[in-house]
Formats: sequence, structure tokens, C-alpha cells
Amino acid sequence: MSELKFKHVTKQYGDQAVLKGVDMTWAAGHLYGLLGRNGVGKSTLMRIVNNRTFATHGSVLLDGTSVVENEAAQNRIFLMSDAMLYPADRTVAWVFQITKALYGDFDDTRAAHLTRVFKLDPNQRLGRLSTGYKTIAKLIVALCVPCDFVLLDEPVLGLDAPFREQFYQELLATYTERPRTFVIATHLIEEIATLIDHVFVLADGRITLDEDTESLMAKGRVVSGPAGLVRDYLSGVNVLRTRSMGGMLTAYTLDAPLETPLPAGVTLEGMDLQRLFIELTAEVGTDED
Amino acid sequence: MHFDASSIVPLYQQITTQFTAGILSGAFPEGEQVPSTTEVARAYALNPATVLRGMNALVDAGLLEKRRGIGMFVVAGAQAQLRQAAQADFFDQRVGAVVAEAKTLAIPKAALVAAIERGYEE
Amino acid sequence: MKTSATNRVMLGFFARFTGATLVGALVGILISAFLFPTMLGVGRYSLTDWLIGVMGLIIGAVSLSVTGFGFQNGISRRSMTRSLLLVFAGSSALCAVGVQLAYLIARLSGARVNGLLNAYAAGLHGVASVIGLLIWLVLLFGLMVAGGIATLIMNKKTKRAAFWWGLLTYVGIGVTIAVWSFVNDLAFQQGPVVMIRAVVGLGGGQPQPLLLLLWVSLLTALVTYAFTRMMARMEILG
Repeated sequence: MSELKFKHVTKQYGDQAVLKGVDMTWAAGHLYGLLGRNGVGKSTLMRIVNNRTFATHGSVLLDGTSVVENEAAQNRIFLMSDAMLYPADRTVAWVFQITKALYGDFDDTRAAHLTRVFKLDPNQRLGRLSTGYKTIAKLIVALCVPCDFVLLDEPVLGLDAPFREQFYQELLATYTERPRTFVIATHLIEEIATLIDHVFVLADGRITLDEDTESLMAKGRVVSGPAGLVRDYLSGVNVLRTRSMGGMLTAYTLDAPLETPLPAGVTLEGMDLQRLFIELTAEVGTDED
Repeated sequence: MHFDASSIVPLYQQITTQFTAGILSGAFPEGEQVPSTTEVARAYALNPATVLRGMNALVDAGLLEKRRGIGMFVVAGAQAQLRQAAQADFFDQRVGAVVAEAKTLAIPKAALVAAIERGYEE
Repeated sequence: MKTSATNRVMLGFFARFTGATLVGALVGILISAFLFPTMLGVGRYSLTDWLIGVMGLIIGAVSLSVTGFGFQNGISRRSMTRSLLLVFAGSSALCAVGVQLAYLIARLSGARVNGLLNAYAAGLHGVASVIGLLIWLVLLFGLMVAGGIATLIMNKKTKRAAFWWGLLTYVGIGVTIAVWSFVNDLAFQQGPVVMIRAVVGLGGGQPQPLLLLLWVSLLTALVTYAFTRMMARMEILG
């Protein structure tokens, strides 16, 4: 099966290092979430994959060969970003046609369905579309290209809630019809938490979390109760962060001792992906004592 | 159906539970096709593999059957099977707990029986 | 699969992009061969040639905007460079033919055509010739590539820096010409010609079209090399 591998990818701008050795593997047929704080380098990473910018060190390999200046590899990769790189005086229909010519194929049936569902007139010129509809046009292209690795960098930026929901449904529809890899970089973690099967967290220039969503959710716990009891329960356990409110302590952890019986007065709850991400990437240290 | 992304109960298990409830209540009638993995995944923005895992548990329990090329169907007798299991569970867990609590509160057996009888009359 | 079909599509797209500017340039050349000499009287240097040169620079500069499209569709920098140079070659060939045609028509209509080229290869300007065609072809190609380089450089700078650099370059060139002209007691518009002649060893009234062709070819080759190196390192944001 196809594999896209990052080997110690570094990106430096002058003396400032954005990516400091990213090691990661994207396998075929997965829905990946690439999470990270603002400015951490998610977009840069995706642009390196799509041959829009160069890594300072390290390599990105598709089935063993570097993707840099490699048209055969780039033919199997597609990046949808906030940049609008199509000419403004051309129509949406033209973009579909030219994409088909350049990628060898295009899901015309699905494109027709999507333009209908999103109420986008394919004969509209790109320059005339609102920001939201420009995004929709690009999204439709991304969902219809025959590529094995489709990278979506903030795909729903500027879309209203109904359209966002529609997008996730359409994404799943095309994914189940033709399984391929989608990598979604987004800040709207809650919305994609249940549809991605694997999570990558990019922090401080490296991948700090690389795990299946299911096992992550099975480990994430919020422990709440009287401060003393909670601390006893979690003594020796790695805690992501704690929050205190009077005598009550709330702790966020991935290593709760689930076999140990819970003391009375202490509650144990699950932690959703967004909460996990917030606690994981918070500044080191707690906000009390 | 509703799914809680922050619950301790894993999503695939929530799927199993909700489908079970659907079969028990008759919402998914016996012999009828249940929503496909794709449908459920799309409707609730869930990963298809997760949905499949949840539904496969029902196949393993003999409540659903896969018909190649068509989909998943509720097995005949599934509802009865679930009701039996639910009833057994009711007597094992719930009734036992009620009686224990009644004893703790010094409620005489006759009073409890009378309350049960009143309940059935309503 | 990026195949020859893809290359054709891309080339077509790139060519279309420069096409509009090119059409304007051709029309401009033909018109100005008659209009400007007539309107402005006959001077030593007609505006036509400057205009053609500037158009070459603009075609080059504007054409670089197609690279965004190229990157979106997984096209390599190598392919884009090749396509751009091919389009530049085609455009400059068309333009050069247009210039020669303009000379021919002007001559036949009896208009006096005098221009930039005359200073370096006296007797050549205003006369349709093969070597004139070659000189214009190579010159225009070089100018287009130079325009492309300008865009590549500007892309790396912020808009504010680009503005100030552009202004500085423009003023710098103007000041240099003014000083040289003053020092050598020449009219301002004669300044650059004399300057370049002094450097390049042309002039003295002798027609030296081959030497001019050589110089222009050398410059164009250098500029093209610089362009390909810069394109190979091109990065885009977004």
C-alpha cells in the first residue's frame, strides 16, 4: 500500500526554525487530522509535500521516492489551501476541465452533485465568487481529484455551519466510495473529532502525538473532585494539566489508573479531542500552586 | 441516534448500544434492513471504520446478519432475544437493588408488593 | 499522469496568458511605426523601440503569475521554466517579425524610421533584414526573461520594499544618465547610447550588426541562466 513518509523534515527561515525534524508516515486510505497551534507550521509542512516550498533538511518520500520536483508523485498529491491560484477570469467549470486534463481524471459525476448540493453555478467566474464560494469551489475540486493523498489546509474556513456539516458528509461519501487518504489540518477540532481515525499533533516543530483516535479517546480522562483525593488518586501519574476552583481540583490526563477504584466524591469522565488538544498544547505548568 | 464524543464509552460501543436499543424497541424491525455503515457515518460525521466495528459486534452477537451486496438485516428473533436478555438483566440487577434498598429503609415486603401491584394497575 | 498531453495543456495555458499582452504589443508596434514618428517629428530616437523593449519586460514580468497555477496542479519548476522560455521564444519571434514588418511598411510608405538600433548598427534600423530580426528576437527574449527575473525578485520582498527598490532603480538609472550626459556635454537622450557604446565598443558610425548580435546574445544567455537558477529555487506562500 502507498505511503508518504516524512524523514526528519526541517524548515528554517533564516535563523528561525519552524519545523525542527518532523518524522511522520501517512498510509493509504486513512482520514488523518493534523492539529497544531496557530503558526506552528502545519501549512508549511503541507506546502513542502506539494512541492511549493523546500525543506531545509530532511526528505518527504512517496513510496520511497522524493516528492521534490517529482511530477509523477505530485500527480498523486493534491493540496487545497487558502490560496486561490486559479485565474480569476475563468469559470468553475473550466477549473474542473483543466484539472481533469492535468491529473488524468476527475470525478465529474460527484462534481455535478456537489455543485448542486452547495448551490454553486459552475459557469460563474472565479473572480466573481464570494470568499465562501471560492472555498466551496476549491473544496469540490479537492473532493473530485483522482489523487491518493488529498491535503486539506483549513478546508472550511469561511463556510457557514450548514455548509460545514454538508462538507463533512460529502467528504465521507467520497471517502467510502473511493478510499484514499485525506489529511485535514484544522482548528475546528470538535467538528472532525469523530470522523478522523488518526491524530497528529505538531508542536514546537515536531510531531508530539501520533496515535489512533480510538486509543486516544480510550486513554483521555478528566478527573474531578476534592483536591486531596484527586492528587492521591493520580499520584505518580503523568498529568497534562490541572485546574483548581476553591477546594475542587480537575486534572486532565492520558494515564489515569483505571484499575484503581475511584474514591467517593471523585468523578472520572471522558475527554473529547478538542479538550485533549488544548490541555496537551497548553504552556507547561499548572495554573495553581 | 446521538453520539457523545467526550464519553468514556468508546464510539463503536455507543453505536452497538444504540442499534441494540433500536432493535429492542422495534425501530429496526426484524427481517428489515438497518441503515448502512456509510449512511450512519455520513449522517453523524463518524469514521466508517468505527461504525463498522460497532455494527460487527451486533453481527457477532447474532442480532444482525450481513447479506452480500445488499446490506445488514435484523435477524429474526433478535428482538425476542434482546428482550429476554434485558429481562434477565432487570431481575439480576434492578430488582435485586430495589429489594436491598427497601430492606435498608425498613419497608415491609407487603408494602413493596402492594406498590408493585398498584403499578401494574395504572 | 503528467504526460506530453499535460505539457501541451500547460503550454497552451501559459501561452494564452502572455497572448493578450503580445497582441497588444504587436498592434502597438505597427501603430507606433507610423504614428509616433509622424506625431513627434523625426528625432534621433523614436519612442517605438523603447516601447517595444518595455513591452518585452512587461510580458516577462506578468507571465510569472502563471506559476501559481502550475504549483496548484503539481507541475514542477523545471516544466514551468521550460514552458515559460518556450512562450518567451515564440513571443519574441512574433514580435521581431512584427518589427521587421513595420520597417518594411514604413519604408514602403516613405516614412522616415529612425530608432535605437541605429546608434549601434547604423543603417540597420529602418531596414528589414535577417540580422535585424535576429537581434530583435534575442533582445526581446532577453528582456522578457529580465522581466521575469524582476518579478521573481519582487516576490521575495514585501510590497513596500518592492516599491522602494523599484523607485531607487528608476531614479538611480535616471541620475546616472543625467550625470554622464552632463559630464560629456550631451543631450539627455543621447547619454545612455553613448554610455553603452563606450562600454561595448560599438558605434563610430560603422554598421556592426554582428557585434551587436553577439553582445545581445551574451547578455541574453547570462540573463536566461540567472532566470533558470532562480526558478529552480522558487517558493510560494499559500
